[in-house]
Amino acid sequence: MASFQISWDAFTVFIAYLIAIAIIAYFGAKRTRTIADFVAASGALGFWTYVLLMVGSVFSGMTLIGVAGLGFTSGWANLWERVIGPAWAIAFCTILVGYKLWPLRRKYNLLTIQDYFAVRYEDPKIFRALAGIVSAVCCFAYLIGQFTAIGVVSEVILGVPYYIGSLIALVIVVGYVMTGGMFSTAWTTFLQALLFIVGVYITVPIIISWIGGWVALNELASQVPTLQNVTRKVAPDYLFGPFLDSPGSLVSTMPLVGWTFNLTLFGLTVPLGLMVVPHIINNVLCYKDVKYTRWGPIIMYVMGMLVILLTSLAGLAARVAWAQGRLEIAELTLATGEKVRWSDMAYPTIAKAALPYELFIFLLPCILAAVMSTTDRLLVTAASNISYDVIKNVFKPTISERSIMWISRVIVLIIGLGSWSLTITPQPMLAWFIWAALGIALNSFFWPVVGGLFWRRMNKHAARWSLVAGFVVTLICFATYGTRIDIPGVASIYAAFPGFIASTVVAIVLSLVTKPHSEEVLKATFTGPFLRPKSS
Amino acid sequence: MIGPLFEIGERILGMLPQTFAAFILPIVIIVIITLIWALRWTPPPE
Repeated sequence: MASFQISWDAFTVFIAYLIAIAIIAYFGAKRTRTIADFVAASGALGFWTYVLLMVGSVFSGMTLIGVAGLGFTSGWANLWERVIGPAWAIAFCTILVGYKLWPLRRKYNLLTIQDYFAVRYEDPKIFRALAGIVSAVCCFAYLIGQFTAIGVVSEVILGVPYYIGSLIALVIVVGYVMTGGMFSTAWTTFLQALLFIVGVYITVPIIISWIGGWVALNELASQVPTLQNVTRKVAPDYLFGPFLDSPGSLVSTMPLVGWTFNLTLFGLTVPLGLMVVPHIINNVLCYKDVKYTRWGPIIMYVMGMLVILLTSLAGLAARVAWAQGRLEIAELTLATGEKVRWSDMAYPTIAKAALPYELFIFLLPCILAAVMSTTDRLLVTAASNISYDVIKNVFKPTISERSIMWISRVIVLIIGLGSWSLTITPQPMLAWFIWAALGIALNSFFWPVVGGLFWRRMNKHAARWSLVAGFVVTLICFATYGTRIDIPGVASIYAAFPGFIASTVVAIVLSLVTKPHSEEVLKATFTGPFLRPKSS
Repeated sequence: MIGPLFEIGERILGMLPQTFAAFILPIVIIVIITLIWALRWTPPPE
């Protein structure tokens, strides 16, 4: 049985952080009076609040824990995740969706992306309900990863058992989302995003210099196969050792690091899935002024790319230090009884070894900030999907503002508790939860969103059935194959890829064989292969 | 030939040239695209 020693210094910093969040959330709660406030902060967010909301929503526990875990596992071999992953997604979501939807937001008072679907597809009930439910499922899967991350950092830094740390964070985040909705979410995210960005920018260079500097890190990464064989008595190719210094493998049958796996996961699912995933795409309905779409994308990209790059390097540094015998990474016993290296422990573990103690105890709030800034957004999105999109707009349009607000709060509580309960038995790499959610999001929403905005033939039949086909095929593939599909002698691909093929075929075929929407609707919704209509 | 250009990754950063190329090229392209977007940005019609 594991014994835990609580670090009281770290605990004090942790409590101070929670008090700061509670104060901000209190003012958010005071500002929240209507469902428009709760769902979309009434479209009133300023430039930096919006930019940091996007960064804070997309970079999460997955980034600081999961990406470091992936860096530990495969090093540079999955570098596409860093350069065309989350940072690309938020920049291009702002350009392709946020900019194009701006005139429609004002014209139709859009609060969620489901509002847009209702107008574009002239389908205020069925598609709205379908999209709302699938969106809530995506958020639920994503939340599991977030609570896992909270548990991991609490155990290493705070010294409390895995499930206790995640339970404390659950109570806090559910509390302020229930009371303050989107205002509390956006304002707390402003602080949280600043905290984890600065935290990563400061701590990772110290970690890299602890290894011996950038050059030493990369050169040692090339020597890991030999090092781990000598010091750890494992095979040179253990845990992708030979691929840590390369941009992946040209052998398509290699899982995780092969080019087909890289293409289907990091070239397709992560960037395009994050661009349309509900908790990100709904952010583009919350900013106050369209001018923010001008410089926002490049700022988000540079700021975000550096965060994810540095975090992955912390993971790679942990792998090098482990192979050298300088660092011990905890083992995790799976439900099957198998023991594996707990790669998600990479960042907090190497931080504990490399950082001065005074700096290390500030890492917990930084990582918690990254986790909670995404968790709160996911809870708001999932609750809005059920209460606003399904209950209010589909089943009971006459429901009062007060009732719908209370329903939203109860749903936040149920979803928070439900997703937390599934994290009590952790997995070795929480990234798989997030990638699963992104697979569902891409295969369900890519065509309804991108086809709806830019393709005049896309209609409600294509939108409905591509969503259903993508969602169902993706779930079947995950249930049948797990995380990857190995085609013997041909390729190893990410298991969500068949779902994307299915939704694409259904969207294109149904759009071509059924009638498009009327010219009047297409013109009113600015549909076509352009970002800016020629005339209003 | 741009190959020697990527040896900078090996000399200064200790990275394999192909790793440096796969890393730096997409970043440069995305930064250029988002910069052009910002410079040529005009507000959409209301």
